[in-house]
Amino acid sequence: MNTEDAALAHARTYLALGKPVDALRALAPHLAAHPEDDRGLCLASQAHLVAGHAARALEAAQQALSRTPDNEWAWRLVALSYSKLGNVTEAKAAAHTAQSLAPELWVTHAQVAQVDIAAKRITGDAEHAAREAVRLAPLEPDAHLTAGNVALAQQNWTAAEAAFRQALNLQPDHPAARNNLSLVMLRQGRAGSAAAGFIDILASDPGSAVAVRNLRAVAAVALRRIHFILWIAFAVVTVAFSGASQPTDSPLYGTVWQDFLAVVALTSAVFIVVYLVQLRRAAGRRFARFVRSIPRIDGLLVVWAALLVACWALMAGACFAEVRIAQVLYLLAGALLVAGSIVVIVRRHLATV
Amino acid sequence: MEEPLISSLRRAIASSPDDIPLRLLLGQLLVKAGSPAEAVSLAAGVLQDAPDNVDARQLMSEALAPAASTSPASTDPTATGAAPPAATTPAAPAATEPRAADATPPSATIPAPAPAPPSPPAPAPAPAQPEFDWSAAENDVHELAQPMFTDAQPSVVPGSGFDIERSVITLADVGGMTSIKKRLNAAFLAPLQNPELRKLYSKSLRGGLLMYGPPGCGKTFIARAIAGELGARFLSVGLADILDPMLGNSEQNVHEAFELARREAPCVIFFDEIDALGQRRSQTRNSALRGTVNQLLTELDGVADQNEGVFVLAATNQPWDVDPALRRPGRFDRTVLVLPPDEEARESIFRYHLQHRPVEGIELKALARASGGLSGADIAYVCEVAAERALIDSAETGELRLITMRDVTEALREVTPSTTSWLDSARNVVLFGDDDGTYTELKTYLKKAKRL
Repeated sequence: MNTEDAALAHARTYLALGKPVDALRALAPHLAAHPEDDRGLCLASQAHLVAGHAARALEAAQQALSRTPDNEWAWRLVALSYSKLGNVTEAKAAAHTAQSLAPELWVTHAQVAQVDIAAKRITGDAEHAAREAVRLAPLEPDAHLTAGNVALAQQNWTAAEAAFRQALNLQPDHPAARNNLSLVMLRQGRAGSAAAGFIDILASDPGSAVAVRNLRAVAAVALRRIHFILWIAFAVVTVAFSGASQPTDSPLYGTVWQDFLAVVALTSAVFIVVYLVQLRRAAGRRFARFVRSIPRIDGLLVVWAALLVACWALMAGACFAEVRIAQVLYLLAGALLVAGSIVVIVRRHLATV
Repeated sequence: MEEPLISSLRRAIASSPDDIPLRLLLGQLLVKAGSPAEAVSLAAGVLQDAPDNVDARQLMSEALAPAASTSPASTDPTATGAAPPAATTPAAPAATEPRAADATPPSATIPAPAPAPPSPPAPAPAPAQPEFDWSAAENDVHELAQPMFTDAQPSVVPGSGFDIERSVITLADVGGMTSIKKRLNAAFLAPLQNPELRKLYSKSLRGGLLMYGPPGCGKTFIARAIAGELGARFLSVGLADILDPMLGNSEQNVHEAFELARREAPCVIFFDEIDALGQRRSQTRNSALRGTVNQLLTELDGVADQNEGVFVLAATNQPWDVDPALRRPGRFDRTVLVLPPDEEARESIFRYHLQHRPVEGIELKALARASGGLSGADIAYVCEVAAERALIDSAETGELRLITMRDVTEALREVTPSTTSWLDSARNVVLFGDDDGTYTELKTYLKKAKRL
């Protein structure tokens, strides 16, 4: 192995270790001595991409292309860089060029699909390219991951789950496949299983910001379900008695209203408990960890949960209080439900900011 | 007549080097005798010992004045005493400009000096503002900021690419961090330093120590201190020392590092960034790295008594990425969490980074209180920023000024703790990945810091 190859091998090893800065440092003397080396330039482009510098990555890949215009690797890097920079048209064109240059390589097809996945607009081309990638490399987990991502973007949960499971069969600790499989479960309403999946990811990769964000989403989904049940309960009681002509201080009215409220509160509690039991079963031993983690990962979720608990407690309390006080408690419960909705809006706003 | 006086003063200072008035007097005489560079050095020395000494600052300003350094006319006491600074400058430009251009390297952080008045249309007397002699100032500061521990001289052992050194620092040189020192003592040092007790309790010496914690908190420094504490040589091994693209060479490098440590025993072999070198084998498809982990395991296990006198230390920011096989008994089975420095340690770090700089009125305790959560590297950066502020200010005004408390507190406001993202990851580890209680120490800290 000559010095030239040694520098490239060093850079590759550093990239494998997730150290793009070290990779660039290893490449620097090599590129200074051989500025025309397209492999070095492509590795530099890759390192820039890993470091999150898409513009520099694009520049390096384009330099490589100026030396070797038929370099499919460089075209893929150009596609990826443009994709990161939000330039979908250029990204597509570059990915298609790479595909036409090396149709026998699965990665070129995967790149075509990746551009559409990143743009969140799946075309027929992307579907076909993902299928082709799997056909060419059935033992490559990333090919299945690409196919799964295409299906996920198309909301084809069954196909996505099958593809991610296939990727995990080939590489059981594939982080992206694990994350996306849990995401599919979340989208399918299997919040417990999704929570378990994300907790497993965080156990092995605690720095995963995506998994933390997804775990927050799981908690939000669970709370939204409980919130919905309580809204229904509140609406049922309100609608049922909105047309009643009895004066509010009538003892009969009060008794009937409170009994009805008790039945509704109890029913809602049953629904909530059943839902939590389902979550517990699906998440298994990770459920307690999931619940304990919520206050640490998102304070607003705790506020939301507290409002919902207080809401139900007020509804239950109203069943046993004097009619006038009961009605006040009931109205307060409604106010808490509204406050819960406001928390949801605030969370969304903060997420977009 | 002045020459003998200067000589006498020199002898007097040699016999009592702490006599500040004497040093200042010599400095003044040197300025008058046309040796401002030496006077600058003397003033700097005095400022180092007594940063708020007004006379020393005055001497420094006089010595740095361009005319004093270039114009022989200034040797006339009456001329320097009577003439305002503007009067001393005419001779200066021709001499000082090239010097300044030679000596001051271009620096991104230092803007151009304060705008001079617009160039006069015709040759005219130089601007009234005296130019600052950056060459002399830089030389002066350069001498002030000597590295603290210079006697740990690295030496390359023939036939080896590794640097081995004898560490002269000990845990006593580590400011604060009492709990870490206690833990190190209990986990590592006490059994090593008490062979009789070790025999009594049949305590094995096998196994190494893994230090983990946020970046920039002094893990490497502590490793050197441990080597010093043990009176052992210190061999630091980084990723770049081991990785080799040739198949099998990385493994060979690991073996060579251990062989060198065995030859030089007693020796502390310190693996920095062990998470990269000993990455979980399941996480990497890179066969070279897998082989390196295997070799590391082999060397750590050794054969009977092969590693006698070799103390293996490692440091990582991400212990959760280290291959679990490396954490098994007999390998890196003892862990120490190296946290951001406590208040006492922060005070020491501020002192260390400011002691060789021209400072005045620095309240170290207040700084230590205000810098909670900062790592040692962050504090070094704060001092750097404070120095930069004073430097830029001096450049703009043309007047030398010392680093003040205000510079440091404002720098402190600009710097955010670099440990935050690490602590976020650490929180996730404790929340989701601590089934076996490996991170109990970390959990306790996070709870105490209200991050859990």
